[in-house]
Amino acid sequence: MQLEAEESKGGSPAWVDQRFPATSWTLLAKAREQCAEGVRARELFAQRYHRPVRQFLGVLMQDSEKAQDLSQEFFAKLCEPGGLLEHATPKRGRFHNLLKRALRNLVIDYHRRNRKEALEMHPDQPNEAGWEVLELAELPAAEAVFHHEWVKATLAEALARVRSRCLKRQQEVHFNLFEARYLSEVNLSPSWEELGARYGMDQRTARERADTVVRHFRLVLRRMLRDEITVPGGARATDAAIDEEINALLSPLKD
Amino acid sequence: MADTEISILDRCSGRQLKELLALASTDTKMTRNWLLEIGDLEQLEYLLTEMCDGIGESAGSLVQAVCSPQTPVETLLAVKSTAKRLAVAAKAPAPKAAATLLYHLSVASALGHHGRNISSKDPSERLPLYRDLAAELSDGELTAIFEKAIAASISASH
Repeated sequence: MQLEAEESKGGSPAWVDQRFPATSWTLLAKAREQCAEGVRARELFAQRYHRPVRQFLGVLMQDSEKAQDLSQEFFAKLCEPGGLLEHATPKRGRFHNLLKRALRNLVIDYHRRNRKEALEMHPDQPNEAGWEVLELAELPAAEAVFHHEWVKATLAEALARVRSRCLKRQQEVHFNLFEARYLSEVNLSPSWEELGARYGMDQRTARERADTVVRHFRLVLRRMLRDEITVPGGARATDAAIDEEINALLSPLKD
Repeated sequence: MADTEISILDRCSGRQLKELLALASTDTKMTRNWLLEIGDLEQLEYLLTEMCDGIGESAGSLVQAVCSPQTPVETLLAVKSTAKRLAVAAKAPAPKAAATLLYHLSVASALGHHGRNISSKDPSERLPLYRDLAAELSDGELTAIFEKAIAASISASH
């Protein structure tokens, strides 16, 4: 990827500041507002979480078209009574769990509305409560696909902010070296010597420049995660808690 | 979130995503330059806050003082001495580095904004460190202070 001059393609509103970037919660709070910024926040919200939502519903519904319709319904009804925005607060736990719960409820509602079709699709639904409780066999697969997309959405957000930092600091080459080393398409990352040669520098300089971007990345991602972690009593999330969160994101991923 | 980043990550394997996440972990055994790890003003203030609570100072005010060209030299001297105390008292590497960076910022600010050396060391001795900080920190406001100090130091030596 070549670095582009603009901060982001869509252009972020002023309140999505690089030093104080929007967390899921601040974005949701803004999205509740019935003004132009609220509309923009809802668009940003949909842009940020579209893929985890779409993929999760795709596995649960086992029908691409219906999943697409439901995800559109989900984002369209964000602000309506009973929509995600009405209930979402940090007191109710991690945002991604809240999001998944809302999506499961959406699927349950869909099956309630389409009971005949649901029985044809899942005739062995075993629990007595029927579609009141979702016990779909696909749930672990849906959880896995959601997690994978959630990690990608989180990393993409962090990388976009890092790229913007690098542009402001005239560190385009630094970012390109980082990208070539850690995000290369080939399975085997190019050596520092090879990367240095591409930009006319020795391997040590190439490594140091990429390390600068690693530091930006670490700062940005840890801050994003810190702001998402809810600590009882409003205390600050510790470094250990952030490391735990990173492990929780990392562990379920398959090679 | 830029579509560009998502499309790059779509090409990445699970192993690459894991490696990327691991870069942000403090569990890794890599050697760190803790001063550079601070990165920006928000993180500096964040790291100083807990230490400052213990001595009745405001981290925000200290940080603001070193950043403002209007801060008198006497105040910068006081910040320098507070930073020194905090650095000695700090146990973990990250807060220690934050206090050390505050120390360097107070000295650099006096040099860059007022042309005064408030350290016992000659400014030229600090030039390599200031150059590193100016090049590597990710916050323009912080790097500007070191850049001004570098310029003042060079012009003084001529």
